[in-house]
Amino acid sequence: MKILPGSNSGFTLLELIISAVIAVIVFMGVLNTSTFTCRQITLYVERYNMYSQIDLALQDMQARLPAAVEIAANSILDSSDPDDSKTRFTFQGESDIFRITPDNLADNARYTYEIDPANNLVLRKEVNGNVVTTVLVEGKFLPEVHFGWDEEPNFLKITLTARSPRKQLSGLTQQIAKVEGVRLWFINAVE
Amino acid sequence: MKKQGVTFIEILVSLVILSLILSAVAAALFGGFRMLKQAEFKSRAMGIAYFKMSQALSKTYSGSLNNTTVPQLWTGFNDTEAEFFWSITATPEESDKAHIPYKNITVVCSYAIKNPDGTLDKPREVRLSNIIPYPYIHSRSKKVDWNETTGNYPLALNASQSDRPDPADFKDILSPEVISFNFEVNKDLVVLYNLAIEHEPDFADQEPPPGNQTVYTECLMDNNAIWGITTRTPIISQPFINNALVIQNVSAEPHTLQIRWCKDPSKGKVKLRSYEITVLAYENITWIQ
Repeated sequence: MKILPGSNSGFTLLELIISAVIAVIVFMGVLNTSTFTCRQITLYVERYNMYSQIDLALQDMQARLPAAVEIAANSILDSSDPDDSKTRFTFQGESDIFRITPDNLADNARYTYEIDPANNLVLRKEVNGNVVTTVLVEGKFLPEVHFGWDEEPNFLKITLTARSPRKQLSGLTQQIAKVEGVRLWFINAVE
Repeated sequence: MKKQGVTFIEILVSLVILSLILSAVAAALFGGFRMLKQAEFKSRAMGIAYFKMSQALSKTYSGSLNNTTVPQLWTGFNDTEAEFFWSITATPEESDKAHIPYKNITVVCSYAIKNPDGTLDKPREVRLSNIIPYPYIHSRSKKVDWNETTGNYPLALNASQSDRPDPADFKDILSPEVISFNFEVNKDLVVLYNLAIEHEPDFADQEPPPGNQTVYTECLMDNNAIWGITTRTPIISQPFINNALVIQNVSAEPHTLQIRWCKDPSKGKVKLRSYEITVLAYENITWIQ
């Protein structure tokens, strides 16, 4: 048999095995990186949703609460306890927040901010017996809301927290917390 | 045939370079996590500072802080991963030209992240500043209603008096307290007073008072100057006396305001059923050049 000149190219079995191992390591690294990146994106998107919903809830409270003309008895805060807070707040306010008519009760609505059985933070608006429920923060974020007072009887302190159901990356906190102050124009929140 | 390949030294150098690149990437990655955590807690501290600033700004100028509070621990979040301390400083200042006072409010919220071993990281802080301006308008008012037993009977004048009664004949309406004020800038005052009166004729004379029987009122500032005009109101036709007068450029120092009245003529009695006096004080702007 005649051997052709220059035909010594090829791979030995050992080289193939080593290159295969290296390729597996590289692909595992790439796979981990992409999985990690996808998980990061998911977490950030979820975190953005949580912040957005909390901001929406607080803005809604900022818009409706100042014009409250009556607070339900079970929502009035205790003046002797500076740490008193409620997780459910019911009040009578303007049905149209852009038309403030404190002397005209006919155009008012009854509002309630509370956590419903599905753990959603909801706003219930009742006008003439009709109740409309709006979800402000989804229940999957396990929101908690506390209505308290701080120093002044007409100044509400609203603390809103939400918790991500996913395990967070190192450095990110599981819980998001925000606090907002609302000054009531016509009524005190403290008895 | 020439054999090509990589020497051992080249492999070592490439491995060193690769490890340097990977370590830089890892440092950026884990540093990013740390920065995220810092940003999260900074956001919370900013929320606390904003809340405290809102609370400070919701108070009136006179009811707001005048000093610095001791740093206080914030317990609203039940946070186990960081500690937040807040303090408020209120510094009274004055504008340069018009010397109008205002309060410079600064809220500082410092926070320290808890390490896994329980110790606290280096504290950081966020700071917000705002001002509470001196109110452009102030108001003072007094309102009194009397019952049958506490009627106020002014001193009667003789019918032969001149067209203006003697100052000694006037009786103070605001007794014993006057309306007092001490604003920090010059003010223009608008004084509005409403009196509700009732005429009680003598037993011998049950007729209603004739049309020329009147009640005099005047406004006195600091017990030595009469402002506006001395008004004269017929009793028969006007059981309510409503007057308004303007006093300009009242200086920034303590002042008192008194409303006085008397009746002309001497027959019958006039009861003051109620009065309401309102003083609106606007900032005097004559300093504008």
